[in-house]
Amino acid sequence: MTVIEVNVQTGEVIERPMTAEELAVWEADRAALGIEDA
Amino acid sequence: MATTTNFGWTTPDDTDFVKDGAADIRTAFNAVDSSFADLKGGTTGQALVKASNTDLDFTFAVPDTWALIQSQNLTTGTTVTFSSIPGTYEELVLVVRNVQVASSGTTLSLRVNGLTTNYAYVRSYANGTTATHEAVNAGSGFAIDVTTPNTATNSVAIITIGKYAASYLHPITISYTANVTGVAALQATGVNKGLATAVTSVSLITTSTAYVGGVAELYGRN
Repeated sequence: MTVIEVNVQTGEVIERPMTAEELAVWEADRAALGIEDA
Repeated sequence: MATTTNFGWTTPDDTDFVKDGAADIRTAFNAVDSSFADLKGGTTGQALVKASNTDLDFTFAVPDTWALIQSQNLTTGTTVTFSSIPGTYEELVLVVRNVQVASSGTTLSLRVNGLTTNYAYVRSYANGTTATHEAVNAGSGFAIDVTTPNTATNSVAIITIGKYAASYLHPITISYTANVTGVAALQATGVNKGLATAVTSVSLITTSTAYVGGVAELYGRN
């Protein structure tokens, strides 16, 4: 899973993988909806 | 002594002595100079506005305007984050239009400064069949749409973050509607009760596997 990060001061746009913490939260949010792991 | 019609500035009478002309001219111009004193000053970007209902009482101020800070298409990824937001505006407004995601039955939510706890809010939402009113004490984010349709068209979410640069809790309001089968609508207001510093980033997160359409626009209000 990826994060699109837009630096509004420089206009730079980077695409990076979710951190482990972000991924854990995202999967927990999906689990709360009854969605299986991606 | 004669006076002008609108402002009452003193001017010489027709019978006054010419030898007093210099002083009379000086008197007249000094009166004009004094009347328009408020028109002096200001700086780039400011506008002249009335300071009171008194004639010629003006002040310069930055007009209440909106500036587009950044726009980002929602065509990939599961999270779009606007980072390094400068604290130069009164409030932030995030407008999210026509979000489409890879799968339906998922959610769209907002987080600030990457925080995943302490979102306290009240919200009401409806889908044309059921309507729900609830309060959340410690959510992991603000829900923008509780069941994002994957083919939403003409949807719009308007999210306002008040006093986002201040060092106290920031009021956040969300209004969302989507033109889908039935009705999708959500209204929420709340805070992140653990955030008492400036908001420097906002994130839009879908629990779907990816965005496939839509745009997010971040505005600042002066």
